[in-house]
Amino acid sequence: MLRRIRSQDVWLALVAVSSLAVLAVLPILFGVASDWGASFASGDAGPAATVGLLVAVAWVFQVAMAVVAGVGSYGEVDNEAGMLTIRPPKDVAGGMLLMNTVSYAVYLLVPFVAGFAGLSAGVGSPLPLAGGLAAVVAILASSMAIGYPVGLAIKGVVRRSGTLSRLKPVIGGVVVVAYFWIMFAGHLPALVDALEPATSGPPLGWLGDLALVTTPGAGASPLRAAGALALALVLVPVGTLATVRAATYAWYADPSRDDGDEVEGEGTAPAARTASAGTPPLDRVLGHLTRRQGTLGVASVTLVRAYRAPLQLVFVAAPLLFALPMVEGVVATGTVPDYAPWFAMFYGAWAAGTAFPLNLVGNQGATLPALLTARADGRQVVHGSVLAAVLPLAPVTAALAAAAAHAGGRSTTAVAAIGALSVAVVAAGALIAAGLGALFPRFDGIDVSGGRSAVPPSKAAFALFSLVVVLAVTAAGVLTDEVYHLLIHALLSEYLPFGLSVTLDGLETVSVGVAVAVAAAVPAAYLLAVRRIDDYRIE
Amino acid sequence: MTDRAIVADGLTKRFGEELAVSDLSLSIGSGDVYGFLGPNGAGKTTTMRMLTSLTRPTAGTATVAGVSIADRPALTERIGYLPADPPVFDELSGREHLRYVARLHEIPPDEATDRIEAMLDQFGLAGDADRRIESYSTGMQKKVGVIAALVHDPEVVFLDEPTSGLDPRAARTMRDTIAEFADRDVTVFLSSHVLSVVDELADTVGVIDDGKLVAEGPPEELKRRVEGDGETDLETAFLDITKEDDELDDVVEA
Repeated sequence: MLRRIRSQDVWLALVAVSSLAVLAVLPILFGVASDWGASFASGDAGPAATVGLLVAVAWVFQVAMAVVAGVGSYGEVDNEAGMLTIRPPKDVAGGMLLMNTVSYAVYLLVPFVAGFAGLSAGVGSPLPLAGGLAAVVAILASSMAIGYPVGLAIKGVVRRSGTLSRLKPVIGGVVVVAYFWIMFAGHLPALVDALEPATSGPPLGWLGDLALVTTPGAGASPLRAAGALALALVLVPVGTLATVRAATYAWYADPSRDDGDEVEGEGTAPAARTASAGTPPLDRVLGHLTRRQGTLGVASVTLVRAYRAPLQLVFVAAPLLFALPMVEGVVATGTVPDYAPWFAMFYGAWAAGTAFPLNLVGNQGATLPALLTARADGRQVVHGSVLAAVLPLAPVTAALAAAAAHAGGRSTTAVAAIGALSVAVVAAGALIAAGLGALFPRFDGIDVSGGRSAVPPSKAAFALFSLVVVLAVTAAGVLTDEVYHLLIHALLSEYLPFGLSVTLDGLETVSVGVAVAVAAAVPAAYLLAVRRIDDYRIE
Repeated sequence: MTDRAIVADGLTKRFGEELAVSDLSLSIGSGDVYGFLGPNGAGKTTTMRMLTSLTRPTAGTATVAGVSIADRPALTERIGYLPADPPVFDELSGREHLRYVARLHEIPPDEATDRIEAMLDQFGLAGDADRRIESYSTGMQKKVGVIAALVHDPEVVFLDEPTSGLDPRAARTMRDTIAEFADRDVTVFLSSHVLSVVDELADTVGVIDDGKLVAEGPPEELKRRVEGDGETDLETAFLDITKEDDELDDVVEA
């Protein structure tokens, strides 16, 4: 078990980063709650409405998480065939409901304990903690009892529907974008306002009373608090029964049969297919960019696999977390920061590398022997992998970087230069990644969803590539953008250690050196990748 | 094409301290079906990987279809390889995967389509070829793997457990396909635990145990080596040969 956990290194790193962020927020929560406690102690019950609202919103979010758990991998049974032939589905479903409830407890317990500890400190009594913990239990029990079976039912519907099964990547993408749009683009208050009639009225509003029923001076109603507890008690058996029914519906579904109609001409008899008639649009586009069949095959298959199993690329989204404050700032202030075009370029190059080329050997999985014993050589494999990354990312990156540059008030010439540079940087990033990926391949997967696993690039490749991209984009920015040149100079003047300093001219000289080194690294990485694949042996 | 399709001389592979294949020498004629038998972990897959250039030998040399196994670009045009686990992408349909493999072999699109459709029909997979491989049974995946190994019309084919997981009809198709290949002077290096298949098809059988080639000859000759005059099949011969080897090991250890 420990070995299995250790093998999930990418997730462990993300959990560590997230934990640090949470730890930074908890003292703030404690302080605010402490002030509210002091208000209660002084006879002002005003903050009670806010606490009630937060508690009700926590319930809504917990329900959403329970739905996602049911729809996603937490609604699937490990070793399904074995488990469901050993125990009846009601046992398995009940066990999974319990397991998920316990798993999600930490998400509520940590903020509630911090918040109600703050209230206790403000009130001068430990009693608020009792109400807070009772609210956690009621929220968890009722939200999981409602959300989890709903999620499982949705899973069953999706499994039975060919259309929904095919659209899963698109629907998943829309949900993720909507989540980030709500959470980080300033729309959360509007959503909470919209939910206000439901969150303040019964029965959701009762949860606030339950949470504050033991807090002196909060004016909570014991009757409504008892109502919240009673409702939770009723929902548990009802939800458990619903979970069993929904789980049976989901797990025993005959999966819709995929006819692959998105890539082949529908309704054409196989024997009548011809190469041209059966050529999918993606292949036609790629066919305009390369004549080599091997390159076309690698690029096409790489993109099709990414579209059909997008969770395999989940680690590529990691740097976007750092972009959220920027997006939030843009939305809040209406102004685009000077570094935005360069961030877009950095992310485009980084994503182009990490998506496919940074592990172009490991990504082949069980098919590696077929690739190595085929006529296609290392050049075609590298070309195909790089093409798959650059084709979708170069235009998007160029458009985003140019748009950010335009919105930031740069001249038309500068905007055009940044757009063109973006394409070059993305292509260079993919090529450098191919070299590092071939040098440090990784074959061990991490769990991403249900039975699916993804093979992220190795830690060495990740670290080296990220460093190279940061240096390259910074150097490019300094050399082509006066605003960025001044920004980096200001940052270095502030943070350079050991009393080091750098002049504007010195920074330019260093940037030229970095740019030359990176430019030289591009063909070197390409040749390295080609040679490594040509010589690769499975040992 | 030389008259010897596979020639190995002192092929040896070590993984650290472990000796996987020891001083293996082979000489297999063009158009022969060579049955390669051995207990689990005997070194069959390692041998096939060395002969297909996927693994570099620690010592020894070999040529396949007249090409050194060190010359992968020249070798890949001449060989086809089906590993025990079919090398397929779950996210693709059977037809997409085969088209991908055909592209890797640089087969012109029209020719590739014709060959793929013919082989899909031959293996009874045409009706399911547009479904994703993740929904395939083990046998169907194996069929895709077999077609992928044969689609570029190789001179020498290495098949690792080609009939495992196949239904009787598909297994018969596989046996017929192998026989048909041999008739066309294609050399087949066949590793299988289904000894009846090897007995039926192989011109020569080699038995590897503990990394060493412990017996080699036509199936009938190996059967005759078994003590006793009763009717003997290849399974009995295999058990006898590998038992002899185990006993020898025991004596050496003692």
